[in-house]
Amino acid sequence: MLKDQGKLDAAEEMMRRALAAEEKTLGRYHENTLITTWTLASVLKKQKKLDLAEDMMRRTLAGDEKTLGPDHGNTLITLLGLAELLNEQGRYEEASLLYKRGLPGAAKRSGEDSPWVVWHSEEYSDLLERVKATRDETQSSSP
Amino acid sequence: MAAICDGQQHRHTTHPPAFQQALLSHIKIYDDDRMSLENTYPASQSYFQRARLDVPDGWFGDFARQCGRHDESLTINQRVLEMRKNSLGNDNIDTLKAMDRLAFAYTNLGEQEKAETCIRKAFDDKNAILGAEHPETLYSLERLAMVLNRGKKFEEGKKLAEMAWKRREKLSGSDAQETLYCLSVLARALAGQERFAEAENLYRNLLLRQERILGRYNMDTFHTMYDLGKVLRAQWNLDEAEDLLRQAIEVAQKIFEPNHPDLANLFVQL
Repeated sequence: MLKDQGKLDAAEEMMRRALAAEEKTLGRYHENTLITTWTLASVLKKQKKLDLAEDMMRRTLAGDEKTLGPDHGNTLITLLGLAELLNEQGRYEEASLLYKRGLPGAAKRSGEDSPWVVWHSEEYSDLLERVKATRDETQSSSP
Repeated sequence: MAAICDGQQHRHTTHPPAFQQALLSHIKIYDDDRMSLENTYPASQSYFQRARLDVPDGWFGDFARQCGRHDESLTINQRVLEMRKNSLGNDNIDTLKAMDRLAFAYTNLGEQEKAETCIRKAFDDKNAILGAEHPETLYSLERLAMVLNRGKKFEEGKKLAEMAWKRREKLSGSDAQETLYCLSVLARALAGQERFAEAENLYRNLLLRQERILGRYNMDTFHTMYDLGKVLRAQWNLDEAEDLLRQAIEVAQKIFEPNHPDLANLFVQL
């Protein structure tokens, strides 16, 4: 565990260096810079640095949307990744908005039965149920 | 200095980052000195031509490109091409080689149209003079396919990469670095056409062979790792994609000095 942590810390530092170089030379919206911000966001998520991961994921999303357009595969991957990150933190409303935005496009691109689309759809319906259950609970406890 | 640059070119080795830096600054000084000499004594130009200074210049241009200094590479290669056109003529092989190099500099700087014109002309002329099976002709054909991929002309890129691969395999064997390069161009065309599963297979196979034959810390191996990571991500294989992209960036930093501003250029270089 400690070893993994050390490896991830080293990876984070390395990715940050690469990112600084890319932003300087290629700019913030270059496709390669966006790959680095996405990878860095994934590393931060593994390190449980959730705030930083979210920032980096949002930055990637903004860049993907600007550079590749809202329907591009990379944009959808980032969008659903961000939804997942928010969902895991119990930020259901924000996550729900992102799922609603990303799922139709992902299904259209990869097919309804693609494992990833199925997985994200299930996450989304679980989320909806959890929200509904919480709402019912609140309603029944305060008649 | 020239010999070291040439050595890097032929043995496909990479010098330590600090050494690259030192060499680059020497090239800069040499260049500045030459410029001021030519400006003060225009007659010195013809002396440079007779002394075939275009030869070490060509090596310097390549070295600058490998270090991600594409601006410098463009300036040097433009000069080399002019010198060779004047002293050797338009149809000389060395002139056409200079045209290849100029095309690389253009594509690395994002000047896609100029790059395509240059490399196509180099290929057509080599084809006419040396024949289709000659290694020099194949070299330009492989690079033409890559430049087309860069310009998102994947269909033609794929067609030419396949053609180059078949000829190259026959000429150099299936494990030669150039043969593997053809396959990477083909994989990139497939990825560009969103044929991700086919591209993934090809990249995986290529990565194994390149790691074995060229080693891990090599530019070609790095490109394959990075491109495989992108293809995996496109197929939602996110964990493995992240792992590979991370490894690729680590390799790039070992090949190159981490804080070097040109590090990023490695990702877009031909």
